[in-house]
Amino acid sequence: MSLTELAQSIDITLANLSILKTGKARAIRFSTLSNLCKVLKCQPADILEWVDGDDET
Amino acid sequence: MQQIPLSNWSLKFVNALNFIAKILFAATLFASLVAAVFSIFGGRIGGIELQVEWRLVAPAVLSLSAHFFGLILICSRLVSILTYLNKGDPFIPDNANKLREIAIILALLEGFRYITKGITALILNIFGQIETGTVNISLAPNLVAWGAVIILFLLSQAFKEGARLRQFEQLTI
Repeated sequence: MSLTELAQSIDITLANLSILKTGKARAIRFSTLSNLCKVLKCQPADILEWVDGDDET
Repeated sequence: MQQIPLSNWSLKFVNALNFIAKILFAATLFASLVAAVFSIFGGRIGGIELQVEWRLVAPAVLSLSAHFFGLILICSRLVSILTYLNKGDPFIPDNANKLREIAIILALLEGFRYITKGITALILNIFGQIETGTVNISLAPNLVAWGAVIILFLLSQAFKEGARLRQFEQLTI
C-alpha cells in the first residue's frame, strides 16, 4: 500500500501522514489512530512506542 | 479565508492614522525649526512681535516629535496585526511580538514624557521662569497609559499562548 493510498483510506492528507511518519506530530486524534489500526489491521501498541526523553518533543 | 468587516475598517482607520501621524511628525519637525529660528533671531509676523519661549517650546516639541514618531511605530505594528486578522488567523507568534513591541513603545513614550517634563523643570531652574508667569510641572503617573501598557503585555502573552495552541492544533493529526 502506498502512502497516498494509506492517506486516502484513513481520510487525512498526504502532508499530515508525512508529519506522522517523520514524528513531527504533537498529538494524534483517537479517530485517526482508530482508522490507522483498522486499515493496517493492527493494535495501537503496534504503531506507538514510548521512548524516554524530552516530553516537549 | 473569511473576511471580517470590522477588522477591515480598523485596518483602513489605522492606515489613515499612520498617514496623519507621519504628516504631524513632519510638521512638528518643521515647527521646531521655525521655533528655533524665531527664538534665536526673533520674529515679526503681520506687525506682531513674536516671542518664542524656547525654555518651554524645546521640550514640548521634543515630546511631540517623540509621540508622533511613537504613533507611527505603533500604527505600523497595528497594520501588521490587522492584516493577519483580515486573513482570518491572528494567533501567530509574530503578532504576539508586535503587541509586546507596542506595549514597550507606549511605556517608553510615557517614560519620555517624564524625561521631557524633567528637562523643562531643569531648564526653568537653570535659566529662570518665563516672563509671563510660572510653570507648574506635575510628574503624576498617567494611570490610563500604564494600564494600557499592562493590558497590552497581557494581550501579547495571550496571543503567544494562542499561537502555541494553534501550532499544537495544526500538528494534531
